[in-house]
Amino acid sequence: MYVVHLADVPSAYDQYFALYTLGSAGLAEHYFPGDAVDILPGVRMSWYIGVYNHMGTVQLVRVVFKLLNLTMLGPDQLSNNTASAREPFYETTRLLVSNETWVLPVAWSVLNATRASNATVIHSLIFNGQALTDNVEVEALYGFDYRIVIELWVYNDVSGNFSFGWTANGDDRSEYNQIWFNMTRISLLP
Amino acid sequence: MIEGANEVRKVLFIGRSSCALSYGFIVQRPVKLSIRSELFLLTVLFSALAISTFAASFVVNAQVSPVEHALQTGERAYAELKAADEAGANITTLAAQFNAALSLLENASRFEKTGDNATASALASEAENSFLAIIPAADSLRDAALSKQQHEITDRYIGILIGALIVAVATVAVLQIYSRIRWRQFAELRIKPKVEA
Repeated sequence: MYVVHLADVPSAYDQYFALYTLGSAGLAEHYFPGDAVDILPGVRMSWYIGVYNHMGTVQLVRVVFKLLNLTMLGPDQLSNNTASAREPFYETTRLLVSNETWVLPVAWSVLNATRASNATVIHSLIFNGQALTDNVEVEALYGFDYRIVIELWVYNDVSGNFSFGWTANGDDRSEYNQIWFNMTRISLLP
Repeated sequence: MIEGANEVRKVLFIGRSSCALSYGFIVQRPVKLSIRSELFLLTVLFSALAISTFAASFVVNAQVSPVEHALQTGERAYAELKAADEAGANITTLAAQFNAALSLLENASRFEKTGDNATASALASEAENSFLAIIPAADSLRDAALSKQQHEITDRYIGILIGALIVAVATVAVLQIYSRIRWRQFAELRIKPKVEA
């Protein structure tokens, strides 16, 4: 009977989520047309965001998109797994069964950006066909070092809220991606 | 019973010995009331309580937008799906239905932000209906999975018992056969006379 009981005990299961961002060809390359990271308004980027659930149970996950510059604080995985304080310009939620991978196609471009003096300001985006202005406006010195931050938020059954990160095997973990780009070629306003 | 006579306090006192009930402001001594008056006062009190509770819930419901309401139903559907999943049910189809409803709800939320409340409300209502359909389906899937799990456990233990019985019977049989062989060998033994040189 003991032998049978031991056979019933599940082996240690490594619980985790995986978050990845792929370029237009579904590979970890070609994130920008012609691989030119210095983009202009109207240039269309095509990415694939993947989330893999290896938690062993069904999970409700949310992918959150934020637009930041160099100096804005991004997510912090080293201390307490804190998300970026910036509000998201887009987010989408999905239920993932165990061992499921969700691939979210994303097509986006800058709709409107201006440059005044030494600052470039992005005012709006086209994101998956929608014109977005809320939580988009951000300026960068000479248009350098913008970044799209993609955070993985997970529904916490205990608190009843989504939170950045999750607890697995006794550890707090979190996952995010960020892709940098520049907009330095925008002409100065008259 | 009443401390600080300057304070205006409502007092409700039911005396143990007299069953008298007093109700008023700054009462020094309980005023005895008849049973009918007591019942009337209690009815008034409970009615006031019920009306205020109903009014409060109505106000709360009035503040919840259709999107928010659908979201709350979605949370219930998620809880049911989670329970079914943990019971070992295959929820793939219901998960797809849930995700479709989530997508509707996200669109409703976007319409709500742009001020198109009619479209938002229609989409939220559709999402909510979908969530409402998921709840009993997930519940029955969970029950079926739990029942199956119970049968599997029973079958497993019956299998173990039968297996153990077969092993025991086989062991006894082998031992008996071995014992008979040994006895036969013993019975067939012949004493060889010692040949002296």
